Amino acid sequence: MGCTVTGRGLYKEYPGGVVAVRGVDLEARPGKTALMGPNGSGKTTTLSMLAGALKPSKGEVEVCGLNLWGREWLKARRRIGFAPQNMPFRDKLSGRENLVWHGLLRGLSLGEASRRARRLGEELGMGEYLDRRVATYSGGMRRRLSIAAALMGEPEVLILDEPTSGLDPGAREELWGLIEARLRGLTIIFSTHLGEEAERHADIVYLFSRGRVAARGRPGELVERYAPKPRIVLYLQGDVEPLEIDGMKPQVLGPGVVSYMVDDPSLGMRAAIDAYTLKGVAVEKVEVRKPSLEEVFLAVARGG
Amino acid sequence: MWQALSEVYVTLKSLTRYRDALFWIIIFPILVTVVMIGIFARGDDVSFTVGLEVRDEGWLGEVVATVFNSTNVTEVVLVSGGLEEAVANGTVDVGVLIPEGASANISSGRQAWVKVYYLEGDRGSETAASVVAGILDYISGNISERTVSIAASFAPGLGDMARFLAEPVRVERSAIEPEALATVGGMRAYFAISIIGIQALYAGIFSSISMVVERRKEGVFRVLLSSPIRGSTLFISDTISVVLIILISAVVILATGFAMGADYSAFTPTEALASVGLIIVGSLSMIGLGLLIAGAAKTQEGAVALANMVAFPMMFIGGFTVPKFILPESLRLVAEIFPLSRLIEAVRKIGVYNYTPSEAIAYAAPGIVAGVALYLAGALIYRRVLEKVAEEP
Repeated sequence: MGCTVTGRGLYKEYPGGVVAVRGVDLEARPGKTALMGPNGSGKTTTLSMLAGALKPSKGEVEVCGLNLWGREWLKARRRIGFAPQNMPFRDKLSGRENLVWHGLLRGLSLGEASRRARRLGEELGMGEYLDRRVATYSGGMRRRLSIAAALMGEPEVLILDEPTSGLDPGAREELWGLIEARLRGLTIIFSTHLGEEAERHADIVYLFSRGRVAARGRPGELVERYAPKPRIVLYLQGDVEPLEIDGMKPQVLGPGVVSYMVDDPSLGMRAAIDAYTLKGVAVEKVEVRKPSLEEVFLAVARGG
Repeated sequence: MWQALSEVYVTLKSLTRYRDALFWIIIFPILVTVVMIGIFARGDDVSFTVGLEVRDEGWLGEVVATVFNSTNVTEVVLVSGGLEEAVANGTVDVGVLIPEGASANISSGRQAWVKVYYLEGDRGSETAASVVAGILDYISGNISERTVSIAASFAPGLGDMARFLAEPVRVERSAIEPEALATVGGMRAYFAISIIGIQALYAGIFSSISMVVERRKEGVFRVLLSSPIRGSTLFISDTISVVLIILISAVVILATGFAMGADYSAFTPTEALASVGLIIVGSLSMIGLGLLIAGAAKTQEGAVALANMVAFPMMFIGGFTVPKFILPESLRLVAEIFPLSRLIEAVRKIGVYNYTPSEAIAYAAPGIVAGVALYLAGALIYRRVLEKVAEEP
């Protein structure tokens, strides 16, 4: 079972005066917590501080009630599994041997590390790949191996830095399927810049902007609270000049595809169809798009 | 400790998959051993060809030829006429002429003479002439000793006078068991031990640089910092790995040397154990030096360049490839104070010069102290690196 991870007043200033994180308060309970934000917003730095891989300049981290940089640092770290974006592996060793190596770093005996490597390899669907050299792995298989490595110590808290970065949508879904099937009940903290991923898989989302938490809440709650208005998308016949309709500015999404932000989708849709029909342009299709976390993310990133 | 040993096991296992690592640990030491012993300890004996022209019909010619042939230095070629020409045209290095009646003269108590021809200005011929003259003096001394003994038995009072007349200054020759370096096998052992020094120099410095710089670059430290492992455990496991790598190379070097005729008979089990201890301390000193370099350099490239700047000249002036006794006086100081040089020299003293372990350790003491100090300084640097990584990834 998972436990609570708490970050209080986390502040990180790198030598040279660059401040990456400016006073972040964060609490992650059993379930999935996403850290979302644009590049350079402080997600990875915050995750590294939560994992104990980076010491905060100010503030403190508690894992299962144990201070990560206090006297019980060893106990605290035993409860964490961390998979950074580029998990270090020895490429000429097989996946199994690499897992054993990570197991040893977690303080396991050689025999126990071998048993867990075999079990995790099976659970994460690595099959025959487990005995192949890591140098031959695809991106997706490497990600699975990273997660397996982070799980070698049977942690209560699993910290994943952009676990699906660089994977195609199919591989992404497959990986999330595995995480959800295998890791129910753990405290999982992950970073992503994909709104759709956070929306679908996180219980709580922290939106990061310029080293601070700009917003926090359940995905639906964030959309409700921060998302801009809904949009209507019009598919027009031919590549026509987009129109400004009742003060609504058009956004061209492609040739003959225009979107408008509206207060009321049904009223907006009617007004747009009328405006284009009057100009002799046929409207082939209209869609209403509900605001997504992606848009909340963009709005927050722009400082909205 | 179990954690450290497990880490060592995985490190050594992974090394077996890297061809470049295997090259530096196994193949490179073999090549260097073969080349060094092949060049510097081939074991060509110094010998001279002596042309012997015997015009005498008595026993002296045979005695001289037998004595010359019994040494490993001279090889006798019997010449009948044309001795001077043979020396002049280089057929022989030196010529010895025993004139007619020489044996008869000695037997009847008269002085006999023997003539030695050599090529003036030719260093080889002049040296050969000196060696031959020395051997002839030895024969002459033996004859006079025997003659005086016979005379003394007839007139005891005349013995001392006769001895004085025969040999006013007596040169006592005392045979001392040669140091092993004087033998070909000893020279080969000397170079095999030197190559272990080279291996410890390079493997120690470069492995410790990769312990810090590559790990940092590959992000291994980030995972380590988030793992329940102490920095000291990791440092100990790294140290054991590097020392084992050096010892594996040492075994390979010694085996290659043995195959090429190196003589390790001076190593008893106790002495071998003491030598292993000295090599381990030497390796630790180089790990420390490598960590100091890694701590001083800002990039991997900088660290490697700096390491080469230290290791390459040290290979020569540290008394490894070039024996210390060949180095100019001013440079010998480097080999005296560089900890690894002193420790390897102590191993040579055990294996080549027949020192006892305690004598060798006494000689190595300053190197042991300096080596341990270097290692501890390296450990502090390692700790500082981990702290720095925790501050800045």
